[in-house]
Amino acid sequence: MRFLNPVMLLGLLAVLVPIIVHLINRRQAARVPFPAMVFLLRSQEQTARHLKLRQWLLLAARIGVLLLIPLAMAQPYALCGESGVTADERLPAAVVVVVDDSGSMSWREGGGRTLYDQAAERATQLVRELRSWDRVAVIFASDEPLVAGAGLADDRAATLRALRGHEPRYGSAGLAAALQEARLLLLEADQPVRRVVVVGDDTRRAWDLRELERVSLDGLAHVERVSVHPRVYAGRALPNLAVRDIAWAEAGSEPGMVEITAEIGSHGLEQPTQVTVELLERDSVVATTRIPVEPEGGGLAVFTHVLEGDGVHEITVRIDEQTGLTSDNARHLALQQRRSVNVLLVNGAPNAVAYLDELFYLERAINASPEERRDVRASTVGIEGLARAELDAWDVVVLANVAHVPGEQAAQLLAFVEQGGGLWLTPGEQLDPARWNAALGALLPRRIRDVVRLCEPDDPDANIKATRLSVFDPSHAIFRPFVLPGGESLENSRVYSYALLDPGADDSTRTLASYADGGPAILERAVGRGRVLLWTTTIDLDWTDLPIRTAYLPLVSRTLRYLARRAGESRIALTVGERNRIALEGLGAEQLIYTGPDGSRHVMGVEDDVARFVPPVVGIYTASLVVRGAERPAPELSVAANHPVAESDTTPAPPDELAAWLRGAGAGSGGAIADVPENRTRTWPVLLFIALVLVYLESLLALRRRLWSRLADLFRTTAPSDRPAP
Amino acid sequence: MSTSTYIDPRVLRSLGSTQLRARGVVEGVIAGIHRNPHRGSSVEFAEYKEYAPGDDVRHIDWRAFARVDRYYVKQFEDETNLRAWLLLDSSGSMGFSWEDAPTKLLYASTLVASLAWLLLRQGDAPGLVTFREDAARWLPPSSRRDQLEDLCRLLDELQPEGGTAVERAMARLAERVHQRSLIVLVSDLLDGSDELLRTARVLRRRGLEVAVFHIMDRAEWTLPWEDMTLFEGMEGDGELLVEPDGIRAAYQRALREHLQRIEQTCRASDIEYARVLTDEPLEPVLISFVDGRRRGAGRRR
Repeated sequence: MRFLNPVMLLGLLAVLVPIIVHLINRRQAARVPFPAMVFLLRSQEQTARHLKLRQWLLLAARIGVLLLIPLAMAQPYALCGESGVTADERLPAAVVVVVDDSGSMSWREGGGRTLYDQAAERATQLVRELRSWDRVAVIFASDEPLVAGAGLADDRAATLRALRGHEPRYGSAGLAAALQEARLLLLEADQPVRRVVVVGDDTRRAWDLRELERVSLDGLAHVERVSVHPRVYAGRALPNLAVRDIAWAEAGSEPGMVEITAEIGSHGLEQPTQVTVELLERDSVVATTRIPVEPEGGGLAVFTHVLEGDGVHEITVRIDEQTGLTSDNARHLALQQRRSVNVLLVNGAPNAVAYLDELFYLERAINASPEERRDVRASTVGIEGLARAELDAWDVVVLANVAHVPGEQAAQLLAFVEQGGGLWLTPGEQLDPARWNAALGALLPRRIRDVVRLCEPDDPDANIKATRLSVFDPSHAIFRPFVLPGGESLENSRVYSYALLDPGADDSTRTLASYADGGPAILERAVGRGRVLLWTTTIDLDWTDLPIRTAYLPLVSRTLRYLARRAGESRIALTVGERNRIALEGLGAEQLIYTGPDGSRHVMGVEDDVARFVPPVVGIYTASLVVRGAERPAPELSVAANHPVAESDTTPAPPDELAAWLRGAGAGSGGAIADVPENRTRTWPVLLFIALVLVYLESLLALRRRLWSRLADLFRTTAPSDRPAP
Repeated sequence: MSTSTYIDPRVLRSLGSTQLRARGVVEGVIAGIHRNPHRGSSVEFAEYKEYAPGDDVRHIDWRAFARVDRYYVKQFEDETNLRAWLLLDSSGSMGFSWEDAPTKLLYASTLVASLAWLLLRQGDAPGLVTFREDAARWLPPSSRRDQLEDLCRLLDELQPEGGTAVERAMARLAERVHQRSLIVLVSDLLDGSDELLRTARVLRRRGLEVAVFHIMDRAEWTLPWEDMTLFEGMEGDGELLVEPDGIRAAYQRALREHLQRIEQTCRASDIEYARVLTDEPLEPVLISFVDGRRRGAGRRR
């Protein structure tokens, strides 16, 4: 037997006390010379056996108590075999079961049970195996930790009901937050043994060791891990295909035509596969395609679709996958088609002579037809007007041959583009490269170096000297009309002069078209949520004859629509489980109500024109507002909630690092996790119990005779005779 | 007679010598007995004898002559010729006393002295034998005037010590006593009682009167101690450390059996028996004894 507090064994010396007391009593006992010793001795012989037995029992009880108490305080324990039950396993325990219900737990194989179903079953089994004196709490770890019920409780049935009734949220993994919550619960527990059991998968997203490093259990509890990661995939990522992203853009000249691009990702695949991708609008499949997907890579599925009618279009891209996460097999988009594009034309070189005006041809192209006039609403200002314009009211700003943009307006333009606006820059004779670079450096796709003058428009050799648009990206939306059969050719246009740009390599910039001599013609730069298009030649006839070419009108139209992202607006997709801020400025709303894909209503109060919403499930949420007590639909606020992309990554956490963290998490005086677990059987509770029994026995024996004699006196009807009588 | 006139045994010790103590007791006894004592009252008519020459003609019963026309003389119990042997146990156990009670020896000495006084008063001849294991002292019976004084002096010199040897004293007494005598044994009868009683029965069969005063202290019965007590034998018969509560019942049972056996043996052998507690007045005991003897004398006539 070993002892945790061997110093307490010094208390065993107390066993000498009854012996000393006995000796003292003997010495201090009243000495009475007594004549009838023979009868005393005779009676003592008769009762000796009983007396001795009683005295021995008394002595044994007293010595036993004096031995057992210091022994118990020394906390002895015995090491039993590995298969034995440890004392920790026998003592009352407070157990917190953390169940991972993040997105990766929706993985399943061959249409079977999801990992969450298996985890819930394991957790249920674990709760059932607890003893009646244990307390248990369940925390669901996804996004913000969700404590089932009232925390640590004795009510096993309530805990099991919470486990059975919980719908997995499939949000972002939040083990760190859940462990912190577990720590708070265990701090309040008064059971001697405290355990945390994490039931979940092995993904590195779930076991983000950088986040877990911030969690300190301070030796408060044992941390155990129950993994439902399929053993056949031990150490490997679980095979999973996911719709990682969905984007859209207007496509073609047909009203309402959009191009929807879905990025399909893969994890854990061992070989390329073909994936069927479906495009749905409001749960109806409108298009299907099949694409190849590479292992640990992906593929793109592109759909062209015509949105018919106004209002919110619920767009979904879906893949059919038997093995993998179910929650990332679809991605949603709430698309609200708005036909008209508001364009602010800033005329850098106005001219009283109409055909000499910088915007003469552009305005004619915009107003070429009733449809164009309906779809594109333009307003022309000078550079002074730019200062006064409220840019948020426009979808696209065109700076045509503007000599200089003051710093304040440049900053406004930058903010405008970053928030999704489109900026079209066209040079001209007013171009001052240095000033443009200084003012618009954050917006220009590339810095302007100089102007290349190949010839004058009226040069008789212009046909030879001028260059033409030669190379362009046919996949780009603005060039779509030029690749369709019968489409206008851009190569017929002549360019006499153009702005020469500095070379540069920027991921956000790409060259959409080039001249035959190699010079860049049309460049695009993504800035924030918006785009900037730079034409290096004029929008009028100063440096090119493009305005009088038939390609001019469709190019202008496509350019304006392409730049107008906010025209056909889709709200930025929300992520399930994340708290989102919904701006409601100017709407006077008292409440914001979202109706989820499952029909659930989520009512949020509005404070300071802001509502906060955490979408619980994946899908489209249609919105309505309560204004002055009346509810009205607000389709413009409809949103899509999608599965957190990071959860699609099923790569497991490094096992060595994970094991090291687990060892360190519970280390300390409170809940050590030894490398080689010791099965200790602590015996002190038993010793204390026996000591208590002996104290009771000693009291009973010591009081017996006097107690009984007192009791007998109570019931005696006559006084006892003290005269010897036969 | 009111017991308030009796001497409280608790004050016996303070009364001085044995003779003084006896005086006080005897006065109480005398006041308590039914008939006034007078000299010669101890001379009792015993029987008739036909007249033979030489008999004292003063004792011729003339009424009897008138009835039967024959001469008869009265025979009297000549109690001044009664020799009373007072045997007093002076062993160690007789030195016991508890709280205010006198020691058994003092109480017994007072009883013996009182008895002797009463016997002398009625013309008898008391003698004394004190015995213990290693010694015995004899004072032969006599009706001398200073017999009481000698007896009381002997009693004053007594110290309780040693073991009991009462059976040996009785045996020696039985060898020496031949004529009609009264044997009064005053002892606590804690040891050797079987042998003693056997000797007493022998003496009784020889026509001797035997009376036993069994002296006990109340504490010997009640065992009033509660806490752990070391009992030490007063005659070198061991010691015992015990909680009295644990053995009181068995002790009293054993003592009761002993007392019953003694009393039954005495009764069966026509031995007068009186159990006396040292915290009870002596006078009633002696009055009872005297009255008992008188009634017994009447029966013997």
